[in-house]
Amino acid sequence: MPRRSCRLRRAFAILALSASGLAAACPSDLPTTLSLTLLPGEIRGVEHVLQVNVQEDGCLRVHRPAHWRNAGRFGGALAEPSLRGAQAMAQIGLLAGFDGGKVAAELAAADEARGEAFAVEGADRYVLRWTDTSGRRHEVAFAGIFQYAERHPERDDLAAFAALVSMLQAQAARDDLVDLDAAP
Amino acid sequence: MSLPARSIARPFVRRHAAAAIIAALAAGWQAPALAGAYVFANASRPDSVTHPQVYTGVGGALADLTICIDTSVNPALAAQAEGAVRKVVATHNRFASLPANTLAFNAATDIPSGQVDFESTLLHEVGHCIGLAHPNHATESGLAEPARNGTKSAVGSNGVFEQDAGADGLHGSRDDLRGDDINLHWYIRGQNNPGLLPATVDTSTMIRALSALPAGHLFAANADRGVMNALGFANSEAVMQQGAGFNEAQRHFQHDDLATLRLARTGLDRIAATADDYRYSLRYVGQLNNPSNADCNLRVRLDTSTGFAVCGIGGQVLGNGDLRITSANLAFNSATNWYFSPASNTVTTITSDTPDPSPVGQPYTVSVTVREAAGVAITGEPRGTVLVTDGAPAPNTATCTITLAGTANETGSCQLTSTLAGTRDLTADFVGFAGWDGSRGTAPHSTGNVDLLFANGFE
Repeated sequence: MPRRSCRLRRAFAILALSASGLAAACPSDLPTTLSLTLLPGEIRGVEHVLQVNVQEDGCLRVHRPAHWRNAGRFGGALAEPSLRGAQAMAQIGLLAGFDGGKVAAELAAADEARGEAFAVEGADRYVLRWTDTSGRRHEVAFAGIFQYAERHPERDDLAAFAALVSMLQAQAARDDLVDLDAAP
Repeated sequence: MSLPARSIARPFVRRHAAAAIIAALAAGWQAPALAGAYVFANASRPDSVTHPQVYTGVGGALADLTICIDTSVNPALAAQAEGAVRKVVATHNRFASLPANTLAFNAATDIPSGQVDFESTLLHEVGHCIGLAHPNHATESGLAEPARNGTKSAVGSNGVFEQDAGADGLHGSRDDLRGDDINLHWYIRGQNNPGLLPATVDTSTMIRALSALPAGHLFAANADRGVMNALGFANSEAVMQQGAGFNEAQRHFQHDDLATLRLARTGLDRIAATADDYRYSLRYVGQLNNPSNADCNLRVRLDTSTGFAVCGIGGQVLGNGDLRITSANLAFNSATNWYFSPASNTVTTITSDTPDPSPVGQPYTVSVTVREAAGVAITGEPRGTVLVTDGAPAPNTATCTITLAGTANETGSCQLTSTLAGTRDLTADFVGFAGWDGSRGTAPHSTGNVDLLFANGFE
């Protein structure tokens, strides 16, 4: 198997062996294989974006937005590696071919046909990117994912998107991540 | 807006997040079924007005619109929000607005440095939940700063926004060049000035189509702070304008907010003072565990279902093309460094009402003070407008207005003339000013005919 083709799988396999051993070396300089970018709608500026990057070796690199209580750059290793890895792989599988614009248009058309409407005012935009087992890069995006997933529990793709975002958000909020800008 | 330098200068943000953000923006926003000066207005229904959940399609006094705090998630944090929720309820029910000084920053507020004001954000989100959209393009347009300050619109036949700031360089002003964009912002006929508020708000004074713009105006102006400053209204911006910031208080309705709310309340005929006009109050019903829509209409939750703050709104199309909200859930990010204002930072007191009792039809003087609340340290003194009423039911309500200049130990007064006999509570409502919150003082007052007054000891 070519090296790039198994990056994501290898990241989770390595973590399954030794998460604690990797923590001291994280974050690393290896490429990112899975990431979340969260752009909030109602507060302006690049500094208010949440960025979560999972690197090829399972390291985690996080930028917590300026409006968080504990803002800044943090790093560590992905927690509960085997469980998280399996969940992430499963969710990504459900998101293959996901087109946020198309899904939103479908949902709006269905609402319109029923004489209904739905909106998420101030919606945040969530962008997931990952490199698959063949080395191909993917990007999916959706605004207001949690509100739409709650309204449409029948949609596996929205549920998968929300679950993967939740997983990465939980990693970003962990207390044990290291402040990368703290004085030594 | 002041921002912590620590968070801006970090190389990781520059190298990684910034690249990701640019890519995300380049990918474009999905085009959801929203929005306008009213939520749900769009290119196919630009004139649609959205009404709150308690609207039934008929006029009159509606049931209270209820709001609660959901304690099923982060209960300790959620409980801290109660003071701000109560204040937003009071602001909504005061139903008053200012042309200017709706904004305040830093030492002119009670917000500690580096925090985001929960109350200001809540007032904005509640506005969405009762039917108001952003008056500006906002992030849902996919436009970048500063073009997203342009007036709320739908794309025309070419499928793209044609947002050009025009000669003044200000996006959202009257000279914006907009091509075939479809305006969604209601403005004052013949004025196009969001710093004004007509005495009567209905379709005789407000319009969405561009046909009533004054000569020389090219597009509807919105109440963006830059636009308002250019129009001569200092520190003024609509609450519904998108964009919160650190150490920034925006706790009072601006005229554009109130005009939009009042237009909706004219009902389906959109004519004021007719039988289908409606009115309602917002009522806080407490901290509830996982409430249903039947338990409360507006559910406030602090969790991770948003990166900052949102309102998810369901709606139903009414017969005339207007919409009625059927569900409204507010979410606020639980990791955010919120400032939860516990109570009003001012205290309004009716210091005297003389003579008391007073004869029916004879004037009496009401004196009022507005002071900084204990423990608050805001630069300057409270100033602005106090609305005084005698508590009599409409149409017999007597009112007068006091304007406080903001001098030390100031007392203002005005005269009321009550036309109904009885003992009622006078109310003095300070509508707020910049970083000073609104507050209310009350005092009993008796009014009667001359015989009754003498019998009660009046001389």
